[in-house]
Formats: sequence, C-alpha cells, structure tokens
Amino acid sequence: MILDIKDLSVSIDGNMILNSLNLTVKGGEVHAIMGPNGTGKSTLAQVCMGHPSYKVESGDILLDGESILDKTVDERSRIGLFLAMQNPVEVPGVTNFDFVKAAIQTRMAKDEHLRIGKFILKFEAASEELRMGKGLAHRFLNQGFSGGEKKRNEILQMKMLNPKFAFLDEIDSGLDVDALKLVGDNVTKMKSPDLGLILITHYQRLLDYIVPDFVHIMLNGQIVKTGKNELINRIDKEGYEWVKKELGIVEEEKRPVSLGVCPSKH
Amino acid sequence: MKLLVDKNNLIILDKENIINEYDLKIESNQIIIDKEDDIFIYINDLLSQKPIEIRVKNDVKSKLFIVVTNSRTNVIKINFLLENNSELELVSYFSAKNKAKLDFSRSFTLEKFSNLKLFNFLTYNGTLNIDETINMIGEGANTKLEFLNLGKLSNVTNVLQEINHLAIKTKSMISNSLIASNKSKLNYQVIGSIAKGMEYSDCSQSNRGIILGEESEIAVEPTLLIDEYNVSASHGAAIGQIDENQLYYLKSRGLNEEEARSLIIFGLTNPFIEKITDQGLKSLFKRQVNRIV
Repeated sequence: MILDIKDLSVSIDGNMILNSLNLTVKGGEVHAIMGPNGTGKSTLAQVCMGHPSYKVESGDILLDGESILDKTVDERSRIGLFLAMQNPVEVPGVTNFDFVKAAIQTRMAKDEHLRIGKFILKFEAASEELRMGKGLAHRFLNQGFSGGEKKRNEILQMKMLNPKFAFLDEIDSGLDVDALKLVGDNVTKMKSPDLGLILITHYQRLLDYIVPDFVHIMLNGQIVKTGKNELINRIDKEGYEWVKKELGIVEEEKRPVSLGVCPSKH
Repeated sequence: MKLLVDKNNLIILDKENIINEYDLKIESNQIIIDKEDDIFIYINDLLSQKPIEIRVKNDVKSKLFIVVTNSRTNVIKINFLLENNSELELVSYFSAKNKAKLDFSRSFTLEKFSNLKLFNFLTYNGTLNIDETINMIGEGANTKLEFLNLGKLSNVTNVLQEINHLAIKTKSMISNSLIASNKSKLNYQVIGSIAKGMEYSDCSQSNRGIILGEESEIAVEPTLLIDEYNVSASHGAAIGQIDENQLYYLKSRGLNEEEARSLIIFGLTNPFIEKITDQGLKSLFKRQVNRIV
C-alpha cells in the first residue's frame, strides 16, 4: 500500500498554497507533518480528500500507483482515505449511529447486508474505548459535543471505517491531558501494515503517544526537511526560525525593501 | 381513508354532518373530551363554515389526531378550550389529492396549568392558509408547537402562528422545520408575545428551512413582542440551501451526493416524525418525506 504525492501544486482563489510538494507514505508508516500556521499542512490533507475549494495546478496524488485526482470526495473515502477534521461539522437531527451505519453500508457490495448486531457491538466497543458515554449512538452528529468529544468522535469513525490512509489534522487541539493519552493509545492500537498515518500537529505532546517514523517540516507549501525525533525536540525548543535560516528562507514581509535613494548634492 | 379504516375511536366531519363513531359527547356542536384516549377526527369535504368547538375537560389527558383531506375550496375553523390541568397532544395532517385551496384557522385557549402539544404535518396540494392562535390565559400554561412542512410542485403554504402569554409563568416553544422543493413557496409569520405583568414567562422560537429547488422559496418572519422584563425569550431562523460543509463532511465518510443530501433532509424531518405516536401516521409521514428526497 502506498500513497504518493508527486510535485503537487495547489491554489485556492488564485493563491498558491502548495508548491511542488512531494511525500510518500507506505502502509504501516507514521508520518508527522509540522510547520508554522499557514504553510499548507491542512490544505495538503483537504486536497488529498478532494475538497472542492482547492484547485490542483500541477502534480499528482496516487494511491497504489493509480491517480485519484479524478475521483470525488466520497470515492476517495471508499477506496480508503480518511481525514479526521480539524473542525468537525455539526449535522443536526442525524444520529451518530445512523451516520456511521450509512458510511459502512455505502462501502458494501450491493448483495451484501450489514449484520446489525455485529455493527452495534463494534460501535459500542469503540465508544467505550474512547469514553464517549453510553448515549453516543442517539446523540446528533457532533451537536452539543465539546471540542474534545468532537475529536474523539473523529477517531471513533476511523475505527469503524478502517481506512488505508488516515490524515489526523490537529487531532490534539482541544484535548486535555487525559483525552490526549486516550486518543494516542487508541490510534497507536490501530497501527498495522494496513494503515498509513499522517499526523498534522504543532506540538510534541501528541507525538509522545503516537511515535512517528518520519517527521517532516513544511514551509511555504513544501516539505523542506525530513528527519526523526530529533527534529521534534529541536522545534519544541527553538521553533522554526533555525529552519528558515538554514534554508535561506526569507518571508516576504521581512525582505528588505528600498524606500528610495537619499538626495545628493552635485 | 385507508389510514383510518381500523380506528374505533373516529369522528368524521363530512359535508354538513358529524358522524360520531366513537360515541363522544357532542353538545350544540361542541365536542367534549372528558376521558383519556386517542381520538381521530377525519375532515373531508366539509361544507359548513360554522366553527367547530372542542373542549378538553379539567384534568383530562388526551391525544387527538386530525386528518384533513379537503378537495374543494373551503374554510375550516376550530376553537379549542383546554380547561385547568388538562393536556392535549394534537397531531394534524393536511393533504389534498387534487389541487385545492384551504383556509384553516384554529384558536386555542389554555387555562391554568394546561398543556398543549401541537404537531402539524403539511404536504398540501394547492394553497393552504393556516392561522394558529394560542392564548395562554391561565398561570403555568404550556405550549409546544411543531410544524413539518414539505413543499412540492407549485404549492403555496401561508402560516400565521401567534402565541400570546396572558398569564404568569407560561411557557411556549415553536419549532418549524421547512423543506421547499420544485416551485413551492412557504411563508411563515411567527409571533410570540408576552403581556405586561406576565412575569417568569418563557417564549422561544426556532425555524429551520432547506431550499431544494432553484425556484423554491421559504420566507420566515419571526417576531417577539415583549412587554415585561422578568421573562426569557428567544428566536432564530436558519434558512438556506443544504450546507456545503455538511455535505463535504458526510461525503468524506463515503456517502455519495444523493445519500448525503438524504441524510441531511432526514436530519431535519426525523426529530418531528419520531414524536408521532400513531404508527400509521408515522409511516405515512416517512413515506411523504421519502418522496421529497
């Protein structure tokens, strides 16, 4: 299993966000993507999922060697992509149970039937493991959920849908210490050769629980540095300035601009 | 009507006649509800323009199901009186086989600690004008008013809902769920008023609408007229096409466009339908929603 992002350039409303980005994720690997705000981390996840607001200017996204650029959002989900959203949307009146059931049924062959008893047991087990409370099935999708509950609900959906590749977009934001450990443990338990994980995060703390195999730093829409845990530690202590200096990246607002020349006597 | 064939507790208002198959007390055109039961009233081609009077006696809890299937131009007026401590759960279903026009008005007077739950399911073929006026004149009276309106073809529905808090500690909640498809037009005027001196009263309104067709229209005018400080009141209206963010979220879990739209629409209609206790009506409402979807 392999997710290949090749020379991907993406824009939104005429503004370039990703610039010839390259990334390869294999089944069983955990990749962490870090970087300052606005460098395109979430955009990468959304583009892979097929969000219609973004325009792919050039490059490709391949799943097991086949381009997915012509596939719709739902098709990408059914072939194995998953995105745990940074800000999960509320859908009033739709119960969590009905939603997850519909998502599983849409993946089944036409002559296949959902074994409802087995589904209920799996749903309840996942709910228990994520400490979502007994009433989760009947609660409306994300409505009235705390920030932490919304994030845990994303992981519950991931557990139920068994994707091949999952982007977790700032899954740690809004989680208290205990919830972070719970999410980290649950995601770590899901690690297998059949799952590639891409964690988007600002902070080391998530990566204490879900240990990455690769750490990438994104700047200006590109992956500029790849390493291992030593990168996380350095970012945590020093931020991203050292990376910019090392690579000679000068941000536009900091470039020297001429204000004009001083008048001279002749 | 097939739905009512096996109902023992049935009253039929047909043309000029009241056919009382239930043996309910009827005095001078006033229907008296003095026992706990589920009662069905079927209104078909009513010609009389004299108001129908329905009185729920003290301390009685009852459920009333009104099915209106007029197929001719008509005006129907019903006046309800809920005496002290009575409870009425009233489910009304409006439909017409052939294009028709109906002016339907109801007034409710609620005495002390009486409780009214009103559910209206509208899918009328033609023009339907509804006027619901609720006067809570007794302390502690309580009203919940819920409408589910499915507009299709070129149907027009005009609704005036007016709830007047005329006693202290009265509570009202209006919840409208509206879906307009094809060229249908749904117009709602929603008024909640709390009179001076009616302290500790609570008045809330919620309006949600989905516009499915390019030529469909939903217009909601929520109004609060509050003449007392020591009360709580709120209103809101969220009308528009299906939320693209919701659609994207559902699709990101594998639902195709049609499945995602259906689920969002069911999300608007299910909370209403799940509250209907008569299984026959519940199934009928679900089928009507499926047709829209």
